Amino acid sequence: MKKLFLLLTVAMLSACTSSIHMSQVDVGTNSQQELASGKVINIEKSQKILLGFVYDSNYVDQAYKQLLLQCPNGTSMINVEYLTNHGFLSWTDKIRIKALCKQA
Amino acid sequence: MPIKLQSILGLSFLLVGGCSQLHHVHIGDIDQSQGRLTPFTIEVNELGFDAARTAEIGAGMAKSASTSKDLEFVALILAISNFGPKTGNPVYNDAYADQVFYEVIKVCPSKKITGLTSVREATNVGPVSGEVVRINGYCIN
Repeated sequence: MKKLFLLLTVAMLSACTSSIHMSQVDVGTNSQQELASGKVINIEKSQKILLGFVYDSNYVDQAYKQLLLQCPNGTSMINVEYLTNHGFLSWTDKIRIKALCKQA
Repeated sequence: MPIKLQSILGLSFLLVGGCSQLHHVHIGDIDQSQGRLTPFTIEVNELGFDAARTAEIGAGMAKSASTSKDLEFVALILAISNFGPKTGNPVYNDAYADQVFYEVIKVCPSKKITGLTSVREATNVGPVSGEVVRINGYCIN
């Protein structure tokens, strides 16, 4: 009974932990119009890593390219978040970008 | 020293020994030429908990050798189940900082913002911590 309780506790505690390494917000000058009624876009790119073998960080470049595509006139405010979801002998690195696109 | 006094002393050190740790800071452009500046702060936090370290502490404090061995095994299972780089203690919610962006948009009635500083920090009390994302800035009036 004691071992079963221990096993259940371990299973519960080992579920889906995360770590946010960085979250930064930047705002451009003359962005009042977009702050009042701008379009917010969300971009999330990730990379699954097994046993620590990492050979590139292309997901960051993909997120940046997606940002340029979705905001062709540029951005007036941007939030970049870099985090890790932990797993069994593996983890997933994620980059989340929220931005206010400049209007044409 | 009686065991009760030892426990009280240990607990006191744990509570008083809480300390802040800065992980990352980013300072944006500051424009003081557009008008009077009013400071604002937006802060979100989440409970951080290092389960593997807690099990290790438990193993060290266990009275019997078998309990200590069991807890060491639990610590190992927890460590390999939560594999990966960590900043501060792990949290059980990866979206706790999502709303800071929307809070910053809403914070200034004039919709003119400058001098944003983004801080990622933690307050640690043993294996438990408050994982914090804080945004400081100024509204231009």
